[in-house]
Amino acid sequence: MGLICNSRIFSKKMIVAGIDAGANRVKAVILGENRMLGAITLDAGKQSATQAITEAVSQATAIVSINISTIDRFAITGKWRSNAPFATREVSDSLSLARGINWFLPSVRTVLDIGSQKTLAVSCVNGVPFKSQYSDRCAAGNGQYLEMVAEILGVNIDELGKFSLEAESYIELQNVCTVFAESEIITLVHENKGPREIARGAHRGLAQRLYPLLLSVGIKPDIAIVGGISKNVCLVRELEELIGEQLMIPSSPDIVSALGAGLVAYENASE
Amino acid sequence: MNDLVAGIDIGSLSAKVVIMCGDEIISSAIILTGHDSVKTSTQVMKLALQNCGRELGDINCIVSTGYGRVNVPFAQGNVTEISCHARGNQYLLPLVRTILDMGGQDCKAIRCNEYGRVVGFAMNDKCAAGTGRYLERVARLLNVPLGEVGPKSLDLVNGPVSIDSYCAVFAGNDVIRALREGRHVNDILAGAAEAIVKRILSLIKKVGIEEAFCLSGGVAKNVGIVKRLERELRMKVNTAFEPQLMGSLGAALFAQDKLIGLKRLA
Repeated sequence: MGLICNSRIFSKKMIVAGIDAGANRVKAVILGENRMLGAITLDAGKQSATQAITEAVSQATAIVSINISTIDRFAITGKWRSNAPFATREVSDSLSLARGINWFLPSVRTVLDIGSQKTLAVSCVNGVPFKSQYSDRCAAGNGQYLEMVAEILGVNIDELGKFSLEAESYIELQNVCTVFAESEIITLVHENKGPREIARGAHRGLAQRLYPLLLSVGIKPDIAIVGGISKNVCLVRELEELIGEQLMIPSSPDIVSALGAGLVAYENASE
Repeated sequence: MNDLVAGIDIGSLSAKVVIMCGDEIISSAIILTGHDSVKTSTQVMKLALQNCGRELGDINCIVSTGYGRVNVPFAQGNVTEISCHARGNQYLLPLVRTILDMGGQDCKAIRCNEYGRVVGFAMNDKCAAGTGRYLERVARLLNVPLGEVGPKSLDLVNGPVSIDSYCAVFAGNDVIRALREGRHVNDILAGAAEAIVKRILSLIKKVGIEEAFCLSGGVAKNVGIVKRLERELRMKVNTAFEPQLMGSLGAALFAQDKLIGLKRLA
């Protein structure tokens, strides 16, 4: 992976599992031997949080061909971090995010993590978080907003960004609320307005709602975006236009916080 | 000879008409609004006229209100929903001074005086939480007809499920999760009712509460909400006989005023 990592952390011969138990997806990372051994993102689907966490760890260990009993430490972050069925260190979201992004992109001083039910902005230096700001009250500032747009327009969520960028103009949505915007989009489609232009407008609206979150923690380059939505090229473009800076995206944006949690477990392994 | 007046309320979800002759309501009609407000207004008026065997020309004055009030071609005037709701509710319940009107897409808290005139007002129309949409979403996810939501929410099995009160989308997620965890539908509905009441209360507090209190709009038919509000407010929650018609009733009363005014000028 060509990573710059703090060799002090990996001087201990340990295997650590870092878990990010998010609202819809559980991410598990196995760390050891001076590097990340493997990672998995699991859709929680119909499982309870506890089941999903167990399943994610099980699959991650299978991928790297180790037995779960060889894991020396577990660390967990995310919404459902209290739901692990085994002894684990709980790590705050902002610490996990700061540590994790520092692993991938050490020059980053501002990071935005867009989940499906929460968005977190953190200002940090060398993996140490300073200011953090949450948005988890309203779906219109999170990934679920775009999931709604994709569903209504009949576009695959993974294609939505590319689809929206094909539009050269945009239709501004009057409603912020995800539920009302849903009706508004249905009406616009009914009126034969261009779906790409509608989608572009929706992305712009979301970017405009994310921008103040970044401002509140202070925007200092390099700026990174993580979480599943960071793969959305239209949202990245809209945000870059608003901020006036290029955004960095780590090679594995989903697992940044899980990895960060694992690193914290490593650091504290003398306990 | 008593004049005939009509009030028409074109809401985002439903369109309502009330026809009055003197002090008496002689007819009413409710239909779904659909995409065309003009067409809807004609349809609902026709229905109300049919119900009392009259024609449009018999009505001496028509006032419109609601979201689509400017799209009623045969109205002689229009008045805001807030004023009409206050007027309509206070007319039927003369002691009412605080009204909470929950529509499909908004929620309004209104303070009025003894003449039914608005003296205080707060509204949420930006966020689906605390509106009919929230309840609809929950009911749809649980496959429960709206009419059964109230009674079921009072018939608890284990206790109310914790449901997000700030966002209808997150509430939907909580409902799905609760279903997967095998929670009983009634308990989930109870949780949603608690959440909605929490939102309503914060809006009401913005205008202050003075007895008597009245709940208006479709949600007034939900006994689960009514009982819980009574518990929190520690006062009786009155509901008018047909809460959805309050806007159009108020509009009809304003139509009466207008007629009196016009007669004075003549």
